[in-house]
Amino acid sequence: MKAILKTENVNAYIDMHKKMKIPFTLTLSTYTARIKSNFCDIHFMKSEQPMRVFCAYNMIKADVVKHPIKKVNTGTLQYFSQAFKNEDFYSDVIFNIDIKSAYATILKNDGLITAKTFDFINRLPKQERLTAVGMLAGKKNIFEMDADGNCINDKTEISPTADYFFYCVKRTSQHINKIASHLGNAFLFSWVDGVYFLQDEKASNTAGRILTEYLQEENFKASYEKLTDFEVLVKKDYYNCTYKKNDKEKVLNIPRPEHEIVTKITNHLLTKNYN
Amino acid sequence: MAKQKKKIERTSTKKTQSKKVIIKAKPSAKKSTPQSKPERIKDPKKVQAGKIRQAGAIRDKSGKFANPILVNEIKKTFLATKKIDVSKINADQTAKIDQLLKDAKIKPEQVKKFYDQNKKVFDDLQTFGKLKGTSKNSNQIEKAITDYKGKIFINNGKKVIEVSKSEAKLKLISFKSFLSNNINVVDFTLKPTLSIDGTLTINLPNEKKLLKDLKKYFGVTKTEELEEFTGEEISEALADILSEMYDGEEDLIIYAS
Repeated sequence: MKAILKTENVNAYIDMHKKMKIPFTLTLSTYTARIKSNFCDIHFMKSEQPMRVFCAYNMIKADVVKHPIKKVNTGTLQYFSQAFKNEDFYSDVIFNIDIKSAYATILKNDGLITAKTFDFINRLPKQERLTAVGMLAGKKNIFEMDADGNCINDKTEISPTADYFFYCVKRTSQHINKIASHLGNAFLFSWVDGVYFLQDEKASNTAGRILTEYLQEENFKASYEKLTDFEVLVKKDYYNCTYKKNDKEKVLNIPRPEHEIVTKITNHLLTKNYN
Repeated sequence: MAKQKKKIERTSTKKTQSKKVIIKAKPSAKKSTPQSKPERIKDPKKVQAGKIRQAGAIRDKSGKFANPILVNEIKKTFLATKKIDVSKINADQTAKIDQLLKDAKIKPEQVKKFYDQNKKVFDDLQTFGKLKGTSKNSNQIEKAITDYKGKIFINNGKKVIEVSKSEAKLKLISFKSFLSNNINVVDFTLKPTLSIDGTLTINLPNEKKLLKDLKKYFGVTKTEELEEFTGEEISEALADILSEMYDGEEDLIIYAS
């Protein structure tokens, strides 16, 4: 049986099992949930993915497994970076460059998928493309619930191709860091595959031109946007960035750097033996 | 016997400083009174060793020598920062800890410097017994729960309850699913609170209450109606609701897509 994934829908089935005192398993993944018991087996889905998404995923998977890669340390992956100076900041205009199909292009550029697979992925709408590549890192958390609805056990199933996805994250951050170093003081911050920077609109040798050259050399395509009313507010734990893109207000929260020693003590207290 | 002599010498010195001090030396040790005590010759090597020890001594904020257990915790933390595995060593195993420091060629002054640089963090740990840890994303929190060897608590915004590892993970993953399925949210980070004696407390709101609060915030009755609002608006609303729920703490940061 299939149903739309909504918290209320899933909770209704959980509550029903509790009332009827029936043990069940609850499986949660990014876009799905499943409740399985002697009474029912129901799949909750955010939306039904078109067949072409699964086709794209299968093509990527078939290609990448031919190229073994080293295990990626997910603890060190970088999804954002910033060069704010710990103070509130405002600029009338800033610029943003987003690498187009960053993960798929990295897989193609680094020889992990064929040109045919890359072309197939690129014909998909953006959300489907993201889903197809994201399936590489598919993860399921399976929770075993007793008759009273208490969680008594759990296990995690991670896709064997997860490292290829994390490889894309790692390589993207490497390119972003290179872009940031090319930009120097013009660099403001990055968020996944997007870079935000300052530049003089009238200058001939603009930051944008430097980026275009770099990205062309590296076989990437990118989109440029002019953003207005850019404001950074320093919060206790993060930078609150607001700006307007095509007159629509956008908000991004960028975590502030952590105190190195607090990080080390946190990690120590998290891993020490208390027995 | 040697121990007894040492005790007498200390008591005797006190007498030379103040006339009111009564010497309570045992009769058998009478020969060691200040009158008969020969002037001590300082061994330069021992003096030097003493100076080195003094330089490496860790004192708390009141200037007193820190509790040995805390000192060992600091030493363990320092060893951990050097990627030396101390997870199986307890804070009362001084000899083992000191041996590890010796093996790693770490001098007491280095540990002291490490402590002095981070005094506030350690003093808070000593005074309050707990520390607000650094931000971790949902995957990192999940791993932390899996690896944690102490007790786990969840603060759901109403009360703090002790939970098993499986229950903690269920609440974490359910919350993540709630965010990605009902609202367009990519991920979140949160700061766990850790205590020195082995408790991990995580702020994870109850989804039913959060959904109810969100509807109230936007003045809607159906969950579907929340889809009309942008990621930015939702993320701002969540920040306000969570701030109120957790008395102004901003430990839980939600990232909208």
